[in-house]
Amino acid sequence: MVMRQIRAEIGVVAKADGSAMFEMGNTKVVAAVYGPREVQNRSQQLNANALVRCEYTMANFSTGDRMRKLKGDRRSTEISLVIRQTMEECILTNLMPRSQIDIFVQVVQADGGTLSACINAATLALANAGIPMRDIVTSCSAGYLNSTPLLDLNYIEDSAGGADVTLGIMPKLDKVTLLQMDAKLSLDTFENVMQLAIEGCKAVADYIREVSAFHFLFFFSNDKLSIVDHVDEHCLLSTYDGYYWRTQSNCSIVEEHSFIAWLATLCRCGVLYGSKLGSGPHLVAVLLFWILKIVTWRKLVNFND
Amino acid sequence: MEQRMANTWRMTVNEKKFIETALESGLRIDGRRPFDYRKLEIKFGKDEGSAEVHLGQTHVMAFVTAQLVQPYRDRPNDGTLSIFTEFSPMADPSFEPGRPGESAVELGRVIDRGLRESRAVDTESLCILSGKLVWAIRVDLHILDNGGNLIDAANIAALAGLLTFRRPECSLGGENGQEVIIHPPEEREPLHLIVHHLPIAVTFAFFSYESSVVIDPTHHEEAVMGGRMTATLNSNGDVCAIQKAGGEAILQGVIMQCLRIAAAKAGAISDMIKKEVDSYNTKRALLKIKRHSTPRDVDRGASDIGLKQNSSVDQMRVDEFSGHHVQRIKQECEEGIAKQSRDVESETKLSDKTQTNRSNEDTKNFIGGPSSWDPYSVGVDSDSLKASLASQGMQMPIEKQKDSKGEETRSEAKPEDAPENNNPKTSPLREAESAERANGEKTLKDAVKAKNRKSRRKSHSSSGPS
Repeated sequence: MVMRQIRAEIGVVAKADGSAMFEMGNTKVVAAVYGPREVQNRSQQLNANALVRCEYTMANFSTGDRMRKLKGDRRSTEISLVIRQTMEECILTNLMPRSQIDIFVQVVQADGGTLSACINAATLALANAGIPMRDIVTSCSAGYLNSTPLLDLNYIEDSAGGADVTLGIMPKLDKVTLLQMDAKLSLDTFENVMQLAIEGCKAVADYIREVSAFHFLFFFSNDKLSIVDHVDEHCLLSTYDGYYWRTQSNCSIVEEHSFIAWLATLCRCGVLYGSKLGSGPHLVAVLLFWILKIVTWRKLVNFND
Repeated sequence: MEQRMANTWRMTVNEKKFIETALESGLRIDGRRPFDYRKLEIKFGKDEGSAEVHLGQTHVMAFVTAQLVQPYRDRPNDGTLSIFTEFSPMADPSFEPGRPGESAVELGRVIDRGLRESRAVDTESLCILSGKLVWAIRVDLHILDNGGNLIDAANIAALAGLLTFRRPECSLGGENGQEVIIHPPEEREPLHLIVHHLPIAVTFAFFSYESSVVIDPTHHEEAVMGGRMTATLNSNGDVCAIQKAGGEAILQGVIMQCLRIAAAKAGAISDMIKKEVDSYNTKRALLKIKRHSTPRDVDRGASDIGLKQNSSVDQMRVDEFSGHHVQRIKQECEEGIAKQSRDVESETKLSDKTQTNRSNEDTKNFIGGPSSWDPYSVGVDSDSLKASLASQGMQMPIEKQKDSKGEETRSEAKPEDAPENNNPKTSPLREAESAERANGEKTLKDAVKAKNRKSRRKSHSSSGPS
């Protein structure tokens, strides 16, 4: 019933537009996002939507035995397809026609649940790149061994022959995007396992939001950042330097810090553009910003326990 | 990652709107209701293990072949099952020849997960020499026409192929029992694969408007749909695999509802597959009976020329068995016969298990279908066992496997038949024996002369209904 230790880091690949590293127990995955940028292959250009491409690779050293030639094999192709379709669902592709978004996911250490870790890492990387999304997608795996539902299987539990259910949901909308299952399960057992996986996904979602807020408030020197936000049913806000910025009245990164997050957004914009307004408001904004940072830092850092 | 958009057929906006609007009122463009399947036809080819499935306009063929290979190091006692897909360019303009595209890989892996992970095909029975030689079953799926819902059709084709496939029997021989002899089908009846249950794939398509769900989308509906989910279930209500790779997000309640509908559909389809496979096996068994009346002469000719390798052995066995079958009839059980035949057949070096199998099989051949070397079995065949002839043809491989291996789904009906058959068998056999003793010489001559053979065949069919 308990997940493995999760850890996430944003901005690990400096060159990429957005990147993240996600760890679930011993499974470590790095995701990098490039985009939106011009389509490289004109024949694949979509006139109404952005083209989303995804590539999943496992490093040779990621599993116990060193593997050879894994890039083009069937498992990688299938997982690439799955990640692409999952992320495509949550990205607002119609806002960026005739462009291309590349998601590259590399497994550095594999210990079960690589697909879930990849999707979580891709979500964070997309948020880091400031790509507008409908909602974040979080994923978690669950299984059934010895008549017990287990959450977040590792490699040994996975290869024991029991069932393995990988689930990806959009937590705010409470809808299931990704569902993959293998091995046999009766219908009722499956329902229990799926319920467990959904709870796991929601826990991951909470963590991801905390990390995004943390990153935003601490590394504000990083120009491109986005706030995961739920404005109305289908639209997610993102502040996006150099392109556009918007603030809305109900901005919530972390549920319990909603007012502070809103104030922080305001201050952040103020800090960036305040110099145009004049030095007075600018100074006020910077001071307020620093105060908010210190206040929220204490609350956020407690999560990792 | 490649999407050949240039080759894709694009749907017009009008068509798209039409389909979506129709779905809002629960209508589909081909007149089906949302949870209806298209017409399913399963045909079998000339080779064993080849099946052809028509699901509406979708046309898929499956071929099953087997090969002896070395097993994986971490699974020395398991055979392997691998699925290969080929998306022929004639099926759809967006299919490219050469390397399988993403959808081809996905289809192969979904079917593979449904069959392998759920242990539908028993791989332990495919082991011959632990750690050295196992059977590798290879299923090749060819998509010939893409009318939508390829996964379901390909799954049905693969199952039909696996159920009708027979692998050659092999026995251990050589100096220390390490050599494997593969017996050709004329010599030994090939064996069925052991299939524990039938995982049936049911595909749902989700549409963004009105959250509509339909089963078995056609090609047009697939171009309009927002997402797809394939659930593989068997008729026991177990979920074997689920694949929902992104696409339209749906509520958890909708997923459970879809699974329940899929359970019902899976039961219906697996019944249909079993029915088709049974009728195919019946036809095949009947064909085999008729066929075996002729190869005797072929065999005689061949033995004269000396082409057949085992001809001398066959001749010996003929003498043994002719003496045997008399005793066998008195015994009324196959195990007794097996022991006797085993004693006589000391020339061959076999392990006990395979030996029982072989002798069982020889007696099986003797009972249900005459083998080429037995001149007297023709008489037996013509008079006896007509009522249970069809089931016998299928029953024999099952009985043999039952003796040595685990259960088999097809034999669920047969064990009831088997004890019944043993009793009526003996009485017709006694008649047959006397008849054949009288006709012994005649049948040999009949074989050479064409016209007599035909008259004998008529007597076959005349005594058929009896």
